[in-house]
Amino acid sequence: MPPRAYPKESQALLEARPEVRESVTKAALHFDKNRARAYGEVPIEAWRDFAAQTKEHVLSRLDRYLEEAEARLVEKGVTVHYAEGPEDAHRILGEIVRKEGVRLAVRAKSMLTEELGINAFLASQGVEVWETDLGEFIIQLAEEPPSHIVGPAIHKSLEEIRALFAEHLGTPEDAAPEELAAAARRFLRERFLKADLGISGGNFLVAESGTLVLVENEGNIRLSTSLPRVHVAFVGIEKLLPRFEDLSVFLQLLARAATGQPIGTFVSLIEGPRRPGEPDGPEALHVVFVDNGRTAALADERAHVVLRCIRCGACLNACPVYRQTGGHPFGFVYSGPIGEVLAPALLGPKEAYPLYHASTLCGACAEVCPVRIPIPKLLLYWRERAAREGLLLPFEKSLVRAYAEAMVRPSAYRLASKAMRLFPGVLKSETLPLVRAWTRLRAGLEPSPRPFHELWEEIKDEG
Amino acid sequence: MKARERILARVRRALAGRPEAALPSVPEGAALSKEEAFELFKTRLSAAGARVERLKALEEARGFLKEAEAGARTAWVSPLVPGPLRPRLPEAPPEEAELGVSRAVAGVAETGSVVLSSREGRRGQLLVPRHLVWLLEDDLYGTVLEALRAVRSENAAALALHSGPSKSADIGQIMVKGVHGPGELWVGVLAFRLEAAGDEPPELRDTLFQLVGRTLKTKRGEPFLVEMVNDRVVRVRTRGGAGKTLEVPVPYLERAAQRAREGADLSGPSRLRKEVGDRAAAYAWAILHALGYV
Repeated sequence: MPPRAYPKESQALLEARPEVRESVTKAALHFDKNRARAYGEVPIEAWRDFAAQTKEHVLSRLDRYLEEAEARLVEKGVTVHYAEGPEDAHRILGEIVRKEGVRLAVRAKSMLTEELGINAFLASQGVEVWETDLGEFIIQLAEEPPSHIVGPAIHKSLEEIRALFAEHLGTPEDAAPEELAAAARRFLRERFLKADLGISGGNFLVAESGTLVLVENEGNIRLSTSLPRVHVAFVGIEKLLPRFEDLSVFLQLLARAATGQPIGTFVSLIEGPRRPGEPDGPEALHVVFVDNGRTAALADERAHVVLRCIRCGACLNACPVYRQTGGHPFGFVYSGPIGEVLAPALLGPKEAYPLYHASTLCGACAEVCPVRIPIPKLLLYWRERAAREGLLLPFEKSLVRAYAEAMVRPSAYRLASKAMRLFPGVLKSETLPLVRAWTRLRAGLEPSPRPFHELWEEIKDEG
Repeated sequence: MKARERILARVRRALAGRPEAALPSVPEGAALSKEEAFELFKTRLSAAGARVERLKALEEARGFLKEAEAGARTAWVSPLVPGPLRPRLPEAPPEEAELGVSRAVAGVAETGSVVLSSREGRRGQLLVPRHLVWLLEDDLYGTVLEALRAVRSENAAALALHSGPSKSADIGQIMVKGVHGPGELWVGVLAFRLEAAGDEPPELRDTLFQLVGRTLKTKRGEPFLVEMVNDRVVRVRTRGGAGKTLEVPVPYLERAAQRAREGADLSGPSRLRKEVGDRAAAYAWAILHALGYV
């Protein structure tokens, strides 16, 4: 379903499956608590400044860094490709699959390959493909898209996963999490050893050294990029870092923002295929640089900062709106605050409407963002664009116009606020469609007993 | 390459007239003493669920190894691991081995990480249920930045930082270990000089590993890199131009070392050729020289 369906889909989910809200909230708050503790252990503000400025620098000279990265990769025996969008990516992968005679592929968790629909494409080519990240494996069995950047299956309860594994892997109905994980390990281990192709994304790619960097906790990415004879990595063009030493901050910042760990349990620094004399490793390594809307985002001077994103998911965990539903109703690969500003930047404001309205502008996302993306400002920017481009619904337009009228005329504002205080029932009246829509899933609005401008008169001199 | 040209053209168009944003310098972390570095290393790795010991003598290291061997019937052992630190278990390929033994090229205190090289093989680092990693105390760095600088010249297709056992909380937020990679990580930090350990003089093949990654010079001053050591050969790569790879057989080096102990004159590569024959004698001589045999 498209982003346009967000209001309906989120409502339907909240009504039909309240347990999703419970699972997502629990997981997100757990992540967020660990992040807060982990931020407190390091010079976090200096690191965030460094990371934001470094990313901003790369973006401001992205052409130069792409060329440098390509040259270093080629020197190290890597085949470099460029893909403008899914069609190019499929063509490139299709050629590799045919040339190498690929029949079985293992996939290491990657959001970009979700953007590109790589699984469905491989299936259409007769290639058996398995997700190897435990969370991704769970949702592959459930035939669902990921609902969180870092924890793709956080919307699933233990009971649901038990039922899923019982059906597909024959585990007992009351299996402990350890038994479930062991069953997945056995099932996937066999595939790792037989796979011809490993597919990954890339967390970072260092331009000066041609180093592909992958971060994970399970070891499945290392296995996917070490065992099969061919490794294909899809890397967004915004993932470049100038210097090898930049990793010293980015590796720690990413892990602390995502899960609160000092560093991902396994970090791969890959510089080309297996070298002479090495006992193992892939014989061929392909890096596919992917645009898929990124150059369009870069061209927008105000919105381009979204390309700093390192996909940690911290803004999702901090977001009170995301926590109600998880990622599915957003109808886009990336959900939560970052999804709300990535979608219009990559797809255009029309295609992404109304995701950038799914926010209370509370600012929690900007407070946790490791690369200081001003998400609330970007949300306002896209709302403004939507209004200018005539994307608002007629009732929204008249509502906003009335609000604007009241706000620029103190007398009209006082009158309206007095009316609300005299007739508070209006805000609870189920007969008004707007109020009904609001109170269906939310608590009713309560006018404050005294308006702020009166309170202000009293407190402003108190210091 | 039409996509390449189109993407680059769009990037250039997007950036036309936009000033270059300044690139900040990389923040240096606080320097740690050897003791502080080990304490932090141990704290971090233990918190991640790994077992860490500082081993002050070969005897202690052997004791640690013995514990790691418990319950395992077979082992995979990295070619970088010296003889006295190799398990006394039948060797098996990584797919079957119940214990894997690696040697880290570096360690990081601030993140609790060991850095492993693809030179020793990646399967053994990943497929075994229990992974024992030896780390020389001299190779332990305080910060990620220092460690990255130290491993920059490693000649390997892939380096990996391991910072604990494989784990996942994807099933209902419950932490499970050993999901795909090793479920147990043991790290033995070697705080003693291996060649000075024990009563008997060390075997030549047990000391060769120290040279891995080092650049030596032949008697004529030609620099070369010791790329890899295993039980069979020492592989070296010459510097300059494309560089060529040569292998010096370990038994050949052992014959030469034996002759040196017997008092033969091995004062240069030509004497070496006369005494034990020519198997890349110029490099063999430099290796023996670096280890103090000639």
